[in-house]
Amino acid sequence: MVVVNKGILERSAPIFGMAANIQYGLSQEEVDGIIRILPPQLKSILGALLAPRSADATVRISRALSGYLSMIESAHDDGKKIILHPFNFPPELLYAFEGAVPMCEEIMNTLGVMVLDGQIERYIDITREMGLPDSLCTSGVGLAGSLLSGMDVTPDAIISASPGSCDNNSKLYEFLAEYLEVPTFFTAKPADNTKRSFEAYKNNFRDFVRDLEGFVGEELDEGRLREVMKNANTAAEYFYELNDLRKVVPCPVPNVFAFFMYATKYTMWGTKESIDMVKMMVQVAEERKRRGDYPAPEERARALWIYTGHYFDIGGLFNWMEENGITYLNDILGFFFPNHVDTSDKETMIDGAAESTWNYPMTRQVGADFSVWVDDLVWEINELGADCCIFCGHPACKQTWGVFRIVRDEIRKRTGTPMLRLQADSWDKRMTPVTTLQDEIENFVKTVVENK
Amino acid sequence: MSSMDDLIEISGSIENKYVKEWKEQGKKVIGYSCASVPKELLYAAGLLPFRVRALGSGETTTADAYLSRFNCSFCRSCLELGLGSEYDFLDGIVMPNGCDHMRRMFENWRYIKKPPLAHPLMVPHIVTENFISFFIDDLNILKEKIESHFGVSITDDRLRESIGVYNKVGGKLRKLYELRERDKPALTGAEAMSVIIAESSIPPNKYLGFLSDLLKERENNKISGYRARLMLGGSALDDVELVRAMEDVGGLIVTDSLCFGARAFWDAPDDADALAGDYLNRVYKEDYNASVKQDPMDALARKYLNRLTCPRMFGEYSKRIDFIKSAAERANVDGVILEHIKFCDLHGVDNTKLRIDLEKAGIPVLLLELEYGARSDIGRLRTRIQAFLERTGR
Repeated sequence: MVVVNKGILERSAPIFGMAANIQYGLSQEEVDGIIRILPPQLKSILGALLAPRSADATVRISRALSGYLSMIESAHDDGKKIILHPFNFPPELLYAFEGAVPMCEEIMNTLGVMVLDGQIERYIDITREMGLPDSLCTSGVGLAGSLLSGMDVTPDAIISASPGSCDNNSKLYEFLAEYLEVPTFFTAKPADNTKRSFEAYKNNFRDFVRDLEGFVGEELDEGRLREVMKNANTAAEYFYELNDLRKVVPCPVPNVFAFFMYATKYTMWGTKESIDMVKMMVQVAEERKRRGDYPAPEERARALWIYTGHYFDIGGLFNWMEENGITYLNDILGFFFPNHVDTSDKETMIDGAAESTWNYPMTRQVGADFSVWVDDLVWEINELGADCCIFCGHPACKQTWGVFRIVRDEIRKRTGTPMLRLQADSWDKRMTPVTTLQDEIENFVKTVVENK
Repeated sequence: MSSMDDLIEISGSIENKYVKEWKEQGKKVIGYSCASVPKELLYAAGLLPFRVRALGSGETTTADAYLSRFNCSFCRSCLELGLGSEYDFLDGIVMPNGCDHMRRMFENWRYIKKPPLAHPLMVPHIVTENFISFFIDDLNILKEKIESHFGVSITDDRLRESIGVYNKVGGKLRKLYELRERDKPALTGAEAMSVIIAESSIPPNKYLGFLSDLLKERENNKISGYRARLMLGGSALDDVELVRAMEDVGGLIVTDSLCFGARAFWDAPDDADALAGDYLNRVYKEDYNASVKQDPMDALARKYLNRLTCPRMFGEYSKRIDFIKSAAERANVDGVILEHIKFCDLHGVDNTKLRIDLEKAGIPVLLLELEYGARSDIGRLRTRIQAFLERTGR
């Protein structure tokens, strides 16, 4: 076991700092040279991400994430408050504050999985040593362990955006807040997607923003808010362009762009960097479309992952799939449906942020009756031309497991699309090896999808 | 036969004789799944509210095909019975978003079984005026649905009357807990759980009769021969046999913070005969203005949201630990057992923090992770409790 005496932030930031120095337009020979000198835990991940089809986007997101991590590291020295928030909350609202810095729990956690020696296993174990259940979602438990251990930065406040959509995530955030003795701000969702529920949610969201202003000690400046919302609107336009490109056969969007897309959305939406990042992904995909590039001789399957993917071996899953002719079209974390925020005045922008948060991945689909999830899946299947679906079977997500059978049956009934059910922890490789996942996916594609 | 014997018999079956009598009179029964459902509203419509539980469920093969092995075994067991024939006597179900497992249990039940009335009650997770209004609206939607489905009218007077009946029940249960928590307890934890289970299984007026008799019967009863006084808290637990197994090794459960226990009624008035309006004015006098005092639906919504000492509520950890500390002090316990059913994140996480804080306050805590109804686990649990009793010096 890897012995650690530092937190995820302190260990990850220098690695991203190093990656940020990699130049655009590397030749394969140069990539091979870089891979040779890397420590073992980075060889696999960077080897995969620096594949020619995604290398430049990897460099750009590494630079952006390096800046993001540095911003969090220096926040307190800069007199700013660190606000820990879940993935299902729009960071642009926090960028609108002069004195606040967003820190996305799940992305920090996933970056740790990707680049750290021993991934986040030691941090997960810390939570279990404290007595927290082993059934908690590893999307955030690693960072939680890091924060609870006292080895990491301590956030000044926590936003809990999952009451009503995920008990697991909400309870972990509550525990963190109580243990670290920091205040929590809630956006709570009623359990359906009706207009009446949205009105209650919006009212709560307005109170939430007022409370946040009080905590940060700063009233949101309309001009600054407008700037981030306009950036978010521009990035959303590129997002829809990228989504359109996913419809092309064979798919010109590299599989790993699904992950890049939500890393961008969850950490830097509302900034210029987010626009540059999504724009670059669009440019790469357009160029590949023009050339008809695809990483395998043929696209054998177009898979829609109905829940999350697996992140403990990006190369072993995302790259392996497309190199074997299996496109990773999207997953639930990429079901954004970003709205164009009306930037007329502060009120319209806050209401726009409320709508955006309401429609965030998972809040929208699993914070309601299963039929909302099914409707979104049917829409994605038809839009993207998916010919199969895959459920990752992340064990912590009891509520998706709880309606998987119905969702699978409904999808088959409404679209005829077959569905594979895997069973593996998405962030912890100790449960199921990636080779098992590869075998199951390959068997599914060979025996079901190719014989449809 | 004593009242306790009657209540134990009632709690030992699902469709008990009083439910059958009710149905024979042509009256309807509604299943509900959580202490957050205002049963007063159902009763005001002339319906019998019956709390769904999982008594007697063994294998959960059918339920597992819809929920999964990653879902809580209590909900899986309830669903197993629901998908079978045990709950066919229900004329409808009203189930809230009590937790993610329960929410999905309801969706599967509705999808597969298609009950004549299936209403998902949306109970807010935080208590603000905004969400109290939302909940009032939701209760009114339920009211209209019931009125239309069963052809009845739920008037304010009927609702007040129903609230009054359940307040009397709560008041008497408080008196029962006084007998339970006193120096020489008048009943065991297993008996107390049976009494509480029976409350949600028979008509409240009938139950009031049993309770009145029971209070008289047990007033001078004194349990002895136990090693320690314990409190039991945690996730949904209606397993009387499990409590009995805990007590068999010498740990008398003298109070609890269970939703099949004190959490289901604890805000009831001390005066069992108090009228609903007076009671609510007294409890919520600081929050109420003159107009809402007159509105029983408003009162009901506030009462339920304010008394939900359940970890499904957010921003209320201090309320939950205060509830436990206060009960522990009142009942003079030697330790607290906090159980949670495997995969119940709400209680699993809450129990971790409660243990840290209770132990800081000098109260020994035993955390138990359970599978619902797993008889093969009883031996392991008895050993854990024996070790806990020794740890507490008893």
